[in-house]
Amino acid sequence: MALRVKISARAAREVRQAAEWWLVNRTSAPGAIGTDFAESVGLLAEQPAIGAKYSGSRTPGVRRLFLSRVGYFIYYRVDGTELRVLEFWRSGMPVASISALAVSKLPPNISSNRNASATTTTAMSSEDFLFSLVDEIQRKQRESSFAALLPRERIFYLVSALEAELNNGGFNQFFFNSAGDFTTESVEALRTIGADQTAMLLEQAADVFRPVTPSPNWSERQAQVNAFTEAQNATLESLDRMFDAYRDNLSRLLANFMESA
Amino acid sequence: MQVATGTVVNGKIVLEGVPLAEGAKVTVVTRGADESFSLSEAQENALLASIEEIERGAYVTLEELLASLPQ
Repeated sequence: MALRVKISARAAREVRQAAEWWLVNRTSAPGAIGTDFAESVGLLAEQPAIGAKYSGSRTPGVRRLFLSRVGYFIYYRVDGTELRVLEFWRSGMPVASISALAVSKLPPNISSNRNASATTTTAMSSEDFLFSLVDEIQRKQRESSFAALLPRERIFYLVSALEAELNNGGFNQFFFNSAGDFTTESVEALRTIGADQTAMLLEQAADVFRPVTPSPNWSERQAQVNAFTEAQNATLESLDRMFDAYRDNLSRLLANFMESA
Repeated sequence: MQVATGTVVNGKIVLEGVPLAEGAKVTVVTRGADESFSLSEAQENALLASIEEIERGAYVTLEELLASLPQ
C-alpha cells in the first residue's frame, strides 16, 4: 500500500520556485520539475527504500533521491505510514556554502542569534536572499557564458560547483560532469580563496589523465573518464578519501573571499 | 504503475520476466539504497526545520502542490 505523502511548506516553496524557473528557462521541457517530482514522489510512496541513506545521527531515517534530468535531490523520510518530503535541493550548489555566506553577510546581532541555533526563520530568509544571489550567478553563466561572470562570481561558481561534485561523487564525478570543463580555472580559484589543500588534490587528480590533460570539452573528457583503468580510478578514490579526511573549510574560505572581494 | 528490477548489461537495461507493453513509458531509478551520504550542519538544521514544519501541520499534499505549480 502506498504511503500517504506530506510535503513540508519549505519543500513545497522550493519546488514551486524551481518550477517557475524551469517554465521560463527550459522551453524544451517547461514542465519537467512538476512531472519528475510527481513521478518520483509517487515511486517513493511505493518504494521508499530506493533512496540513498543519510549516514549521520541528527536526522535519522532521512534518505534522498536524485532527479537526474532536472538536477535536484528529493530529501525525505518515512514516519509510520507517511512519506514526508523535507527538502528539494539542487545538486549544484551546496547549502553549506550558502549558509556560510548567510552568516557572514548578516548584521552582527542576527549572526549571533543564528549561532544560538534558535532563529530558523531569520536564517532561512537570509539563505533565501543568498539563493537569489546564486540564481543570478548561475543565470548569467547559463544565458551568456562563463566569461560573462565577474571575477568574484567566477570564483564563487567554480568553488561551489567543485565542492558539490566532490561531496556528491568525488573527483571522478567532477571530471565526468560539466564542472570539469574548468579544471585549470578551478585550481586557480581554490588558490585564490586560500584552499591550497584542495587545489593540490585537484592538481593530483588532473595528473591521473597523464600523459594528456583533462579535456575542456565535456564529451571528450567523458570519453577520457570512461576509459580510465582500475588503477586510475583507484587513484581518484584515494584522493577522494584525502579530501574527506582533511579538507579545507571551503564554505568559510569562500565566504571570507566574497566579503573581501 | 509497476516496479521492476533489472541489470545494466553493455549499457542496456535487461529486465527478466517483466512484460512491458510496447510504447510504455518507464522511469529508470538507479538503486541508492546501499549508498550513503553525509550532510553539513546547516543542511541538518534545514531538515530538522522541515520535520518540525510537518509536525505542526505546515505541509501540503502532492495533489495540492501540483495544483499550485505554474502551467
